[in-house]
Amino acid sequence: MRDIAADYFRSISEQVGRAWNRFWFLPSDPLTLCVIRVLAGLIAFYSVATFTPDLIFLFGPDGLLSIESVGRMQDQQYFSFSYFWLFDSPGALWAAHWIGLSVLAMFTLGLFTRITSVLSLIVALAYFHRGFVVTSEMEPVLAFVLFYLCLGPAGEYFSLDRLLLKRRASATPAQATSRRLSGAHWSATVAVRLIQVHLALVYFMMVLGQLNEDTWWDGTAVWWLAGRQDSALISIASLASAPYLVNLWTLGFVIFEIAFGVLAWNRLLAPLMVGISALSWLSIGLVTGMLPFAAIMFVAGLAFLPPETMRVACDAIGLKPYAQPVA
Amino acid sequence: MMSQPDRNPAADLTDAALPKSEIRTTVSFLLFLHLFGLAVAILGTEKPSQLGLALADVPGLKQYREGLLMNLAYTYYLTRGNNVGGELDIDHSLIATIKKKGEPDVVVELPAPGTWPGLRRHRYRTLARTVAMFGDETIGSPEPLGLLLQSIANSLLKEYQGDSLDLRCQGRLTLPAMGEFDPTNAATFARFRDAYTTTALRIDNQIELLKREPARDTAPPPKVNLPPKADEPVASEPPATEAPKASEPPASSEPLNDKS
Repeated sequence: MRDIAADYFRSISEQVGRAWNRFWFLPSDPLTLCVIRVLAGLIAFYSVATFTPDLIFLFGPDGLLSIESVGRMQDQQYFSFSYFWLFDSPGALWAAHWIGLSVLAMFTLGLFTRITSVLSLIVALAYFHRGFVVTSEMEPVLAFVLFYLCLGPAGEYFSLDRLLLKRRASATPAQATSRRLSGAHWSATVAVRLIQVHLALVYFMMVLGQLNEDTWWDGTAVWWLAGRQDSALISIASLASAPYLVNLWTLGFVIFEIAFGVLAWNRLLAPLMVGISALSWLSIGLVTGMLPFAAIMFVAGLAFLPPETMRVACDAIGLKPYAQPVA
Repeated sequence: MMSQPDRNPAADLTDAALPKSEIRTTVSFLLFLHLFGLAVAILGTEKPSQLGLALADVPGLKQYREGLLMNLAYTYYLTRGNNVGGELDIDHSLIATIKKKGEPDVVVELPAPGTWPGLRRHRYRTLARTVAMFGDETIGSPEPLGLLLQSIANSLLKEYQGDSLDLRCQGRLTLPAMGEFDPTNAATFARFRDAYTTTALRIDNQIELLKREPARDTAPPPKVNLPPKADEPVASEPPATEAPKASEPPASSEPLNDKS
């Protein structure tokens, strides 16, 4: 009896171990990760760039969010690190701002990606922590996407790094290594899986939060979202006479969230779910005005696209030369 | 040889592509820590149990989560909370009327009309909503409210060289419920409500805040002639006070800032 139990648990541990290794460590093509790098980099660049007109007004020595007052609030709230706590003179703020934007631009373009990915994370977090009273839903999602992009080879494709590598490879072919040029990395798998797991968790918790409210059950949530007229980008006042449509829109979004968290893991259904997510998040972005949040949720969802599907998509839009492994 | 139905030659081939065992072990350990931290963030922030709170305070892990903005439960209602259509579930803006002796008042609105792009507008609305939340009578936090208002008031008074300012956190109510909405009634498109108001004075280079009762767009409840309970203060009409002049000490005030 004891032997049977021992065999049983040994079998479980072997199966779980094998599954864990395959889930996290099987080398995969980093193409999907690179696409996410470009898009998330653009969102991060946009997010930081929009601080430009308000940089001194918000963070300056006499800014709305002075270090003295808001810093004390921050101490009471939670741990944060931001180089913006160290200075508030206009000259230093502008220098830090333009350097930060340069780093984000280099990261988006895929230059020295291993380094600029980490620096980009530091830059983005510096703004989010310093301006914690003006951050909302988008920043935490962008933060974890940027963090996971640091862990994988996000500069293999669609990058200046690739261009430099090709030039080096053609100049000195004997020094090119097959591993460097094959495109498959276990670290790419880790990074993509982390985005997938974290995003699935976000979807799950969003559904739980929404179903804790009556409006997502009774199908009126989209009406209330669009009713915030200063935020909404479209007016759905005319839909007051079409309650069924509003109900469908609301319930459809909840069903999409549930379906995405479950079905996106299936390689066959993942492209379909990502396609639906584009429409769903666009619609929610328009009624809430939260387009950057909708954008980063869609971009993070691209992690579920298998690299071969991403390659087909890149071929379809004319990006084939940039999405092939360097031979 | 005994059959091993779970043994797949193709799997052996791909297993050979896995990184070394030492790498897998180390990374797996780090992954476990990270995923544990995520789980704790959810358990420790959304209706936390005692165990959840204890785990959320584990040193190192807490700072790791907070530093990476992962210390939240991601329960994004999108309708901004359970109070749908209520006081907090609306767009807010800050309206400051800055007064300077001998000069006309200057009115500053944040976000200013025409602020672009939308993310900038959204940031100012978030700031205003934070003021509304901190100033809410049921869920508010007076200390961070005072710090934030001091910072805002100080900034605006210096920017516009004012002596005092009246600051209103104004909310724009959502459209009424679908069944009650009348698109021909223009009034339903623009209904406002003050979530919080205060007056800020510059006295000896310090900012003093005077709390005022927020204006209401509805009539107060009728008075009922009942004796007060032993543990409740006697209800009274909110005093109709004008903002005191900057050169005079305030007649009645409820300073929110801590004097150090």
